[in-house]
Amino acid sequence: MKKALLTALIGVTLGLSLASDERSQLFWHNKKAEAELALAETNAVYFVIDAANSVIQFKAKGVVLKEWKMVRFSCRALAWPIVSTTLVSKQAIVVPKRKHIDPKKAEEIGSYELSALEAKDMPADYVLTLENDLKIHISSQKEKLLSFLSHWELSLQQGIFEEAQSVWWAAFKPGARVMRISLVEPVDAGTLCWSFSNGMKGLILLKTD
Amino acid sequence: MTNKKFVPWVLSGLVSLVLIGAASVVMVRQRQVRVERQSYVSAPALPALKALKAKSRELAGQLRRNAPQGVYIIIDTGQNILTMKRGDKVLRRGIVSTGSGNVLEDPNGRRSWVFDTPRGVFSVKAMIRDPYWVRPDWAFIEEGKPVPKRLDERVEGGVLGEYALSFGNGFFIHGTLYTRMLGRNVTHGCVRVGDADLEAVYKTASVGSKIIIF
Repeated sequence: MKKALLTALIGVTLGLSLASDERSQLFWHNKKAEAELALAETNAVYFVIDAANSVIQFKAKGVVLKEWKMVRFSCRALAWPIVSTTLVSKQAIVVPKRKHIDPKKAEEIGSYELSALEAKDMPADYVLTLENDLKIHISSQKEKLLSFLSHWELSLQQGIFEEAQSVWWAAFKPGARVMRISLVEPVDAGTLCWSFSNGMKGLILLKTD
Repeated sequence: MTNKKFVPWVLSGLVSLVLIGAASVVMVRQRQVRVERQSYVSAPALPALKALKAKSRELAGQLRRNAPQGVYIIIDTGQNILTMKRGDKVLRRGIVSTGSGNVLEDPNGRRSWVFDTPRGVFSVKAMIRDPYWVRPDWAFIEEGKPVPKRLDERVEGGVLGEYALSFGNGFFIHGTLYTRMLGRNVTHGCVRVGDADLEAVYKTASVGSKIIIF
């Protein structure tokens, strides 16, 4: 009798706990779906930085257009609410410039001289500034290792500077939020930089458990 | 001599004080961070499971209804790739040329053009067989030539390939004479496609088909 009661009690407790888990998962799933629906109803391409699944997706109308695998995602300090955010600007040490066409030279060089801004010109190490002072530093794993080996002095300097900057932000600029993302190849970081455009909206999904 | 002995101790003491101070401030801030994080991730009053499931179904349905119906075209301007799909199925994939991002300024006026392929969700407005190109002002300015006043001086045949699909504001998906440039960003904003891919797109898509460019 006692054994049966105990088994029933364990069963009920487990059942309640599982139901609560399911409710919690569904609650967060619905929150994400609501936020995405608001973006999918527009005619704009939007991004989803999904830390839980380690991917960055570009989507439109709910359809995945392209995705990049993240090999590292770190979020120092603040978490992020499930609401859409806007990309304000992109910053890099070397910013590719648009080329100006000089009509005077048209006859000399020909109209179809290949001189354009392309994804391959995009930096592989850059910072995205989003609404509410959120900064996302994007780089590539491969390039980090290579640049560390070939420019070790610079790397150490940068490493120390970045860590000091993080501590500074955490201590004295509580509004500033920092995330770091590493992609596999420099070319991935470059094409991602190309695809991000100022004013673009998107979601950042962190683990909710 | 005695004073000199104390200097390293005083210095290291000061450094330690600064470090301890900074660490304390960081710890206090991190506590605030944890509190804020908790406010984002905790759901204080969860609705009933039945209500949550109903809401989930409703949201999934709304998301599905937003997805393009029938055939749609995705253009990746970074890699210059066109993908034609129906639902999740890829029907065709081809290399294209998209906007160069170059800037042209009219030396005689205040106009300027940026040759980007527009990004976003568009739809096919018109489908044209054997299209003629009505050269806009920039096409003459770019070549250092005077802009003609008469329309017939702007019309040029045979440069857009066999087919063209308009997606608004003077932008087209069309053919090209410069097939060696496919895969590069060289256009004035239009999407240039190779002959075989263009024919497949023309024959499969229809007016109203969605074109998603990123």
